[in-house]
Amino acid sequence: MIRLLALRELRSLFAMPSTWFILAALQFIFAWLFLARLEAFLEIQPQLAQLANPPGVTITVAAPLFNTVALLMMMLTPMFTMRLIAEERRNQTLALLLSAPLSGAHIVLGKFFGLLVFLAALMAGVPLMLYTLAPGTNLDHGLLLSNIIGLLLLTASYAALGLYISALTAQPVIAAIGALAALAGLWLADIGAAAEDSPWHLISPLYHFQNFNTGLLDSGDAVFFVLFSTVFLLLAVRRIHNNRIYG
Amino acid sequence: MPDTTPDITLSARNLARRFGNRQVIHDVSLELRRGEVLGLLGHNGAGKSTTLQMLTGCLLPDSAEKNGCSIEICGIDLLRQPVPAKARIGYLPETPPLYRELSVNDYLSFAARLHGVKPAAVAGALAQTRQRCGLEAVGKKIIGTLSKGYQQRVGIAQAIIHSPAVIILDEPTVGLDPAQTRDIRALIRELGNSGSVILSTHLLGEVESVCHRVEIMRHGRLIYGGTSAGMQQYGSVSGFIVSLRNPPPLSELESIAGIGSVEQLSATQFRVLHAPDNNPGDALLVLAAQRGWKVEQFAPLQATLEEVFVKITGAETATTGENP
Repeated sequence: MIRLLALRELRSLFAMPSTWFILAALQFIFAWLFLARLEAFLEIQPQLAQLANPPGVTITVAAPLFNTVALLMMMLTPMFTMRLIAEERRNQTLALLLSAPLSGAHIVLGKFFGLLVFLAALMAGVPLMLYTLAPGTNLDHGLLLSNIIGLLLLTASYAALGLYISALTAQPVIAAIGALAALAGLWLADIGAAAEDSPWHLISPLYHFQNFNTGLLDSGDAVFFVLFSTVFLLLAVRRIHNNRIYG
Repeated sequence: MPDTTPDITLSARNLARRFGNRQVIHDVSLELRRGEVLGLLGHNGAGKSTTLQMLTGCLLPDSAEKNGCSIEICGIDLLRQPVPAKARIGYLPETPPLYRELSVNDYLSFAARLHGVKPAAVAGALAQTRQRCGLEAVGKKIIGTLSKGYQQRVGIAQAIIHSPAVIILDEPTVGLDPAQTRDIRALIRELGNSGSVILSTHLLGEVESVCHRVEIMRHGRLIYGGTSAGMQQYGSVSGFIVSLRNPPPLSELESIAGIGSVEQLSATQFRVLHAPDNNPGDALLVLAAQRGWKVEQFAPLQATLEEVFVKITGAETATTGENP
């Protein structure tokens, strides 16, 4: 059932021309960022070569690129999560799901995984571009893998938060602005806290991505992402249930 | 599934619902037998849609335990075991729940799978439903580009594709042209043969033409329940409208034996009322032929829903002796 709902979500996304436009535009932006990073690396490469233990191409090109993509996804995910439930409510298609033999968890998870697959496809261009360097140089596969895992977990937590906010309203635009405000708020709490050990850092998903970004697989960070996503998915299930109570 | 369907496919007891401080539904109880079409008749805002939403599990009734309220679909408790109960319901809400960006085939296959049709059986169910709802020609079209009538048919197709035991249709013929309305009514009658159907409507004629039984709803209460033939006695008014191209003076019409009163509606149209057991239509037509009044039109009076309400509530007041 979850798979069926996820596939329906993907089919609807790909039936809209705007999805294809956004996909194309983002691939262009990612490529631009990648090439700019690569150019900067090639300029300083002669100086790096004089160092005893010079940083490789993966840490100078891939890591900052993933960091920028993570920041971009913070702003992009709300645009995709806004439709998930708010639009079903506005078009009154939610009745189809509510009267179908499904639980609220099925509805929420189907939508969540459908969107996650789409967002993974959206970001797939980044590692593919990086792997075009493989014929010319030695890439640090471990660092790339940790970045890919981190980025997926980070996106999942963004999507869960966006899904919950979309379940609160019947207006997709409000859902988008609400999710963006919540994500930006978490990010600002992180960068606004001056002290290194301030607890404000801990609530920001982007802060927990930093370890993944430098190639450090910390189970604490992974647990944070899983918990963050689970909490908001549970809240969304609860909201769907309340829909039956309050109409 | 029809072989295993019990005789009583839906039974709802003591449904109540309030939105905020407003009690919208008071103690509604309904029962539906196999092979029956039940019409839920009432004005806009009478609580028909809310009742149907509760029957489909889209909306929970108020405090189920306290009021002793229960909804059973084919003997399965909808409130305690929602998943198996909902698999036996097909529901068309007031606004058809259509994903406008999908094609008709994709959407209907999704609806079939959603209601538990096995993947191997989807193609067969799809072909059969498209044929029943007259959707053969539009299978590959995007739903958003279809006309309102076709969208409504896709909505009905979505509700019947998994051959549910109970089909719940909320105002299925609203916004359709007369030919489409006739087709949909024929389809509903056909559905009533195999399963059982509840439909809500504010049209008296619709109940008379498709329903076996009718429940009339007003201000969130059921005020009348009975066969639709029984309701027609409330619905009929003893009288007719007659158009005469060459009309005689009013007094001449009034003097015909059996005519109670005549009201002139326009230069050529008259509304004639008479006693219920004595129809003077014959006498009037004979006279009209003899004296050259040139009858153009002769139509029995149709009661409006409001008149039926007045009669029913009037009858209630007379028997119980209290104001509703």
